[in-house]
Amino acid sequence: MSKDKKQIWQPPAWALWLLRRLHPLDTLEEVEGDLEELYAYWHGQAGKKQADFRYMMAVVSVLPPFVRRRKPKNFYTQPSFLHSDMIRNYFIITLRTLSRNKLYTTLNVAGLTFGITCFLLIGLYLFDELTFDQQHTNASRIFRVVEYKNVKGEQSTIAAASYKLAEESKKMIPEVENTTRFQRIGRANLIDPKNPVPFQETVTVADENFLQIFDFPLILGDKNSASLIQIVKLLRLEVINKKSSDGTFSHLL
Amino acid sequence: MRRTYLGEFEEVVLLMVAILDGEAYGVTVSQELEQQTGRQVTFGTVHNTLIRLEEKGFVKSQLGGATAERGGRRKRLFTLTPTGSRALQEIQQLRSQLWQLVPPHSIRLAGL
Repeated sequence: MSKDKKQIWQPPAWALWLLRRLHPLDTLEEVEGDLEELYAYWHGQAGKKQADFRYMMAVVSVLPPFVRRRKPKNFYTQPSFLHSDMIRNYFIITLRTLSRNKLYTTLNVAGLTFGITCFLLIGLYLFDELTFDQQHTNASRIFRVVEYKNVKGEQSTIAAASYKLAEESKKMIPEVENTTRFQRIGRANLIDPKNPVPFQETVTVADENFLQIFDFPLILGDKNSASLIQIVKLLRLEVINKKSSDGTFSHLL
Repeated sequence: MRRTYLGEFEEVVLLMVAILDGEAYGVTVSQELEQQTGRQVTFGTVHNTLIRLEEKGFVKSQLGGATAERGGRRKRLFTLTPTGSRALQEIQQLRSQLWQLVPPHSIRLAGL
């Protein structure tokens, strides 16, 4: 080594420039020094051409894809982020941050609560709207007739229509296949004449087409021959004549 | 501590660090490697191996020994740690144990 000391051979400038540009900064000093020393050694051993070539190879071998980076001195092993200590730490940090920024905590929690509430309400409303009465096979072809009135400039909407409307529309409007009418009486006192103990039941009265349009299950009787006084309990989907004899109907109407 | 695996080249470099006894840095290790084993390795290989050995705890290093020869740049000098010397001893012990188990004629036959 000492024989080259007097004359300092300079390695190719472009290779040195490449090394300085791309080699990791923390090990640049030692590597640059080492390579310069090696260059002088190679130069003395095998001449300039060989030394240039070896220097170039050495520079390439310490450029980023190949070089191993020195880990920082204070490197310590990191626990897994799912470690129980880490999870406890997350909670502690959360609570501290939340209690330090009280204004933002309030705003954020209130905002999030409001947002989730809105989401749930809208979602429930949509769910209700989209699934309402969809259990009937003909659900897409069943329409309810609502009345809009304009009496002397006073507008009103009534969720009911007259008896004649159902009867006449069937004859006058070809698109109407069938109509049915029903009315909810509400809670009514029912009496079986054979066993005169009155009982209360929520009752809905419908005409004979009702069961041809809607799919409510019939507990007793024939769906096609169901008469005008067939009474269907919409709420419990139960025909009331299970509870009382046929005579009850004539009493009621 | 978990036993760390020591590769063949790592073992040779570690031995070079032990041989050089406090004078080990990139240049001396590569030159020693070339002279003692006849291997010509690129500088990056030695550099990376030394860093890896330090990560594994077999050597420790410090910057020092700036000379005019290197344009005032410091060297990184590597020295063996107790873990490193124990690892080397264990390897040698294992080797000699295994050598004792080899029947004499089998090596002679294989060498022919």
